[in-house]
Amino acid sequence: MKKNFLLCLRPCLLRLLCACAALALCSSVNSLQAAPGVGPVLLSNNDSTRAVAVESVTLKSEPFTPNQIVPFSADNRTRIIIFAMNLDTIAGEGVNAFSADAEAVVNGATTRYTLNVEYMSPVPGFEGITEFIVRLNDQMPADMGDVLIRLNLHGMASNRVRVAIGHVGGGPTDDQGAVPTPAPQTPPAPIPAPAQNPYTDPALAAGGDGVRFLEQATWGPTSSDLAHVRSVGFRAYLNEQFAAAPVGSTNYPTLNLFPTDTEVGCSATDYPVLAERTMCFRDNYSMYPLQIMFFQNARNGQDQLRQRVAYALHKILIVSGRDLNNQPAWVAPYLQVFDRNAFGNFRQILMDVTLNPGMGEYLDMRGNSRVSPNENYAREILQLFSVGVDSLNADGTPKLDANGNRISTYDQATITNFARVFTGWNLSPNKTWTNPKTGATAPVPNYIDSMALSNNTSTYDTASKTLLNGQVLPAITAGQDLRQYKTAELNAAIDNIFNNPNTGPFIAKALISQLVTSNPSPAYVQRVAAAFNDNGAGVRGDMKAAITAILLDPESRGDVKSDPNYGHLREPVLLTTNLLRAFNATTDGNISNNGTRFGLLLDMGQDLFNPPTVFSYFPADYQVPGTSALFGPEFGILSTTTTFKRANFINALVLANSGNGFLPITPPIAGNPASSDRPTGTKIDYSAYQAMAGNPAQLVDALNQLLMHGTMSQAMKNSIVTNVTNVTNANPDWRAQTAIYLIASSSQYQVQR
Amino acid sequence: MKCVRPGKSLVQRGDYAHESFVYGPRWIPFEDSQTFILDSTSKTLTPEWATMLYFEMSQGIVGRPSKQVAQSASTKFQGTRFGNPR
Repeated sequence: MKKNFLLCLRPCLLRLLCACAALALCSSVNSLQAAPGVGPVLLSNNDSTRAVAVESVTLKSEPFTPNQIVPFSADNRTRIIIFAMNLDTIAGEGVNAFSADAEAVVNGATTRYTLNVEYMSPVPGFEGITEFIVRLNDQMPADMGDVLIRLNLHGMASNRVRVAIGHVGGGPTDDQGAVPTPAPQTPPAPIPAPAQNPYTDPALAAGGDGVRFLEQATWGPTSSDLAHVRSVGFRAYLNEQFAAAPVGSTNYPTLNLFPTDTEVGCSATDYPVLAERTMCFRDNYSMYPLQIMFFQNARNGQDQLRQRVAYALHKILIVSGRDLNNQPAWVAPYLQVFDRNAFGNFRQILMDVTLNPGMGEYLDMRGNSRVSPNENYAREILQLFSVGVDSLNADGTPKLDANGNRISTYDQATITNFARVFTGWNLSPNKTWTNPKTGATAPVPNYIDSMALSNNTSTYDTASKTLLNGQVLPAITAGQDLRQYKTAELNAAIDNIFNNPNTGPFIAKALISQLVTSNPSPAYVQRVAAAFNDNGAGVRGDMKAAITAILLDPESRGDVKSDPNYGHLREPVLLTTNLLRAFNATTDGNISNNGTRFGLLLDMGQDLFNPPTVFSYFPADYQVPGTSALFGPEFGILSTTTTFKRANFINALVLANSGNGFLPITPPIAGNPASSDRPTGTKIDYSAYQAMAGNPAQLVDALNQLLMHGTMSQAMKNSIVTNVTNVTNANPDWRAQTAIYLIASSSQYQVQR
Repeated sequence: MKCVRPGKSLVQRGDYAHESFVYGPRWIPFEDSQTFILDSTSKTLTPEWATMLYFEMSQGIVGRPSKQVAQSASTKFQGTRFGNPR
């Protein structure tokens, strides 16, 4: 309602702004040049950082009240107009490419508020200057004094300008180095918005963006990968990765199914030596074999992008080993689904996951019957795997009704109807387990092949169902084959979900969050969703198109991202793989320094392939404490304890054992077969940096480029150089290790931008 | 809590991931007076760490602290300060 009201006022408002702008914006002697990759410039007064800002309806100047005395809008909240230049937009981008925030001091504490950017328009007569209407946050107190407002575009932050709420004065101090940014004396010409860069030019990878790209598209940059991407460019690198296959047919080979009963599979009779029996449990009743494979693949595999995307998908469509009897053989086929389809079509992913026996076990579709059908899978495939609970606009923002409330994508009846579709399916016929010790055989449940329709046709629900958007699947007709009916019905239900308008923006946002940034702009989501909806050849759900759109977007690319909320915290797995690859580690894949099976990873709060809930290792909608609407999923497992554990992990990898990393645990003992399969250690190679130890500044600079794509703050650099210099030059290895440890344990590194 | 080795666990005061993500990269130099070190001898936190953690928890910046860490922070026990790395 507010927006419409403002639109009604638009001609009048713009006329007034012309006069206002002529007086307020053209009195400066400064000249600002539009420059891409710099970020927007918010305009201020001539002699201070105080914003040129007016209330959006009355055009009154500050101080502003959070609520209007006269209710100009249904929510009665104040909107203000601010002005900006140097907008590096691309063709077709509008207001949903921008975000804004305000920093305030409330009761002595620094507080950040998200501001909705509701409207943008060139100022008539000054088309090189753009006005933005931002809505004051509902949580803002009435009288908070000055706040610092920032505008963000493509991950680039503007300067921050002061705006008074309640009264003038107080609030945060200006940013270091902040200067007045008045409009230039000669009004700037409008900057034509170019078409989106295709990112075919290898020169675009020459700077820090080469490293950033590999942080998003791989398990971490290596010097050889960096040289390669800088040689061929981003787009060619992606195309190479799309063609890269795992070693063998899959990154997760099918494992031997063992009996459900651990006392049968690893009986004391068959394994009288405790160490051997323990190893039997480890290899057949824990995620250990898959975890080992994962880190070996991540460190050494050439199909890096496939692995990253498959990993991202496994965090969206969740199965947890802890609910699959801890049997790796039950989980491997589930991981194969993503390995196989990471560059395929999302519809196939939905179908394969639906019939995956591990998923059938995890969310109870296996054995589901028309008598009181279990709703778990129906609920989660809708809520978490595809469409989400709220109807979405094309840019991933929620649709609102006339009262400003979100609109549900589905209701309980829809869930019930989907649950009835998901009836009649069960495990394929049993497999045979051969006891490796005795050669005896026994039947075991088949958690390898896709689920099949049960022979018990009484479990089939064959009545009519109403699905998303009211689509009706008809009841079975007289004489129709039951199996054909249920198969066709399942396909129709998957199509119903896959083709829902929500699926594109929902999956786009989820993948962006995994690969690039926790808080993408709606415009970014919209571009990726558009690629998901149509790959340019009329194909919907093409994962390659969606991934390309994610990684070659102006919001993902660029040498530097200055928006503080850009990027994401490196989750423990990513923290680990990045360091292993950056320093060419040799590893057996066991992230442990004491043989306790991934003890260090567990310490940091991430139990690989054993997510604690169907919401994954951390919830996708986790908001950073003390903020409004700032998502930071990975912070969901960052506590005081795990903060220390991260530092301890880096210490163990870099500093402990005189820099030798995780040492081998107990060398093989003659006559004890179990002792031959102990962790063989993990060690990083920092020899290239040892050679620079005589020049600490050069050493830190090199690490800054490798680990932080050159974004280390000067203060951090100075501090680390000083500390490294304090280490005797006679000990170059310790200098290199100290520098690596200090950088890797810093939050400037751990928040990946 | 497993602690890191003395003199090798410099962590930057105020430079925490939460704060960095919300307000932008922060860095406060770790000169001696601002160096926070986990005490590997007593297996506890030095007072500076405890103070910092108490602040973080009171601000709600860090959630779900372990009981052990919370107790350590709140009691501000004494620990050993280590100097610069060798």
